[in-house]
Amino acid sequence: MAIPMISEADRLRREVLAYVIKEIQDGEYENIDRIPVKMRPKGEPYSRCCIYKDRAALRYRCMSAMGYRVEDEVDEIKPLAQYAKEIDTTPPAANPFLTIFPDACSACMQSQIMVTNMCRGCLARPCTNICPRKAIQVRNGRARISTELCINCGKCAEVCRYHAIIQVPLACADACPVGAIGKTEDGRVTVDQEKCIRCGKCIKACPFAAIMQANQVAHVVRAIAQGKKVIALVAPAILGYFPTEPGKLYAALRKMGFADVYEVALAGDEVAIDEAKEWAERKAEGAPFMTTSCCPAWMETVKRHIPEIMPYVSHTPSPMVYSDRRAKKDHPDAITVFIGPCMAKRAEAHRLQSPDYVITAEEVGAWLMANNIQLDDLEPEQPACVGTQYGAEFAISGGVANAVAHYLPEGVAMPTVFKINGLNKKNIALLRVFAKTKKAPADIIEIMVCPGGCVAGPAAINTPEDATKIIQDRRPDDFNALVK
Amino acid sequence: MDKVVVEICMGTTCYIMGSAQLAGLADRLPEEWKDRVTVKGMRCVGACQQTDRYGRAPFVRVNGELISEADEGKVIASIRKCLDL
Repeated sequence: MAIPMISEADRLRREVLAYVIKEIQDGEYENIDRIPVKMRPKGEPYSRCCIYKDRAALRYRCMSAMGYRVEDEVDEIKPLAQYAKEIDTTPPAANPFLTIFPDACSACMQSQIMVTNMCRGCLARPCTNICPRKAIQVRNGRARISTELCINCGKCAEVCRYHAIIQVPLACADACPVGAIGKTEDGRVTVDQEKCIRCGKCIKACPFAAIMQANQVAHVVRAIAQGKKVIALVAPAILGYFPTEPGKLYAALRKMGFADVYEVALAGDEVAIDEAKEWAERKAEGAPFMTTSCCPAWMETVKRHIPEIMPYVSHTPSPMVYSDRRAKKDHPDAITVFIGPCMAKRAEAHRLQSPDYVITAEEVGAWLMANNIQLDDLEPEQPACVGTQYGAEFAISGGVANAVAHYLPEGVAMPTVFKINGLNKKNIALLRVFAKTKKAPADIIEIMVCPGGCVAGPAAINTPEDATKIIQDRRPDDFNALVK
Repeated sequence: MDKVVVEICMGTTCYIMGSAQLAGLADRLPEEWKDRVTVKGMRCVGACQQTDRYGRAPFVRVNGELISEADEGKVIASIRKCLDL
């Protein structure tokens, strides 16, 4: 089932971020404790069972906006202002960054196929016939599904002429590609951090916004407020989120206090050049295939679920890392901040201690909102470095493979490409087979955990289609589209 | 008959709070409406800074009438009203 791009839960999260950013920026920490009341004032409508639960949830949301996990709370009446003060001495919770507010979890039913009262125990019984596991029997005038036999395929629900069989979803678990979501004894969500690949899909999917992430934006805002030199590394997907020329966004980032802006797209070009060389070398040594390595949620998947594929994964670091190296070389004294659509990048940056912080498009969006910065009013500014269109299209499914193909060293045969456009249980099994049989349907396997590519990341602002269009509309006439 | 004018606020707050999702609205309108409706972007009108008076972002104006917390459903309902359907 498609998850809508923006829901009330997303709006709430963005609003909280904007309020928190404003107060951190102005140093008005005491005001942060007022945010839950400001957002849910007396006498106004509320969303959960009562206004007090809304406010309690908002308090935890403010905590996570400042980089804390709900699980780390030791004193329930510690003021939010105190958490804000401790930003200076407490790094944001980066790995894991996922945090759960159990009281917000609605303890939804386990994902299952259910026969409702609408069942008339009909004569035709298409449900019993279509079930591949013979899990349905009609007893006492009604279809019964054996939970032991049912594999949740949903075929019975499709054929029932009374729409009497329904598929009850469990939003978080259904969204998780690796089965990391479980339940406590009272039915509330738990996440197995050993299995979790940090993709952020459950955060976006939960209709009660009970799964949250520790943000890093408050730390960045604070560093700027303290007068530190902070450099923005802007991921190519970001340039698809705003319908303006990139220069206006760079001007906005400078207005927000960033000392300079680096286009990560340039690092994308460098990665593609190195990965093309790497493929040429591997092929010469007889490698059957190579997978890309720039998607951090994919790298977590390799580590946690398909370690046998490791020998076939490219060793080339991600564009984020290349870009950070460049910025740190130019400005050894600076704090570097990657800005992208991705949550898993937080785990990668934490593991490599490079760059210093990772913030998302959503956090930047909230920051713009907090200062009411209108991109259209700004004069475009140049970044410190600019990438090519090939580097920029790293953000779109097919774009990485295309860049690698474009930068292929002379004399190397054009590689065939197989795209994993959105990781799921099925293609994880397929990738396991590639590793086991040492055989794949193509030379280069491009893997993007988010369907559509980075543009469809969990912190995206617009639709992946619009973002893709905005990026591809910048293609120069001589652009080499080798991978469709 | 005059065309129905739909103006989607592309100011920062509206854009981040959801009008980014409405950017492709023109392409998603029913075929028979397409020559009777004009969809365009508008600059920030400042409504988002006066939530007490105008409500919450995102804002869309349909034939001059400001819709708060606009989503596709609300906008389409408003167009339908203007088209006398």
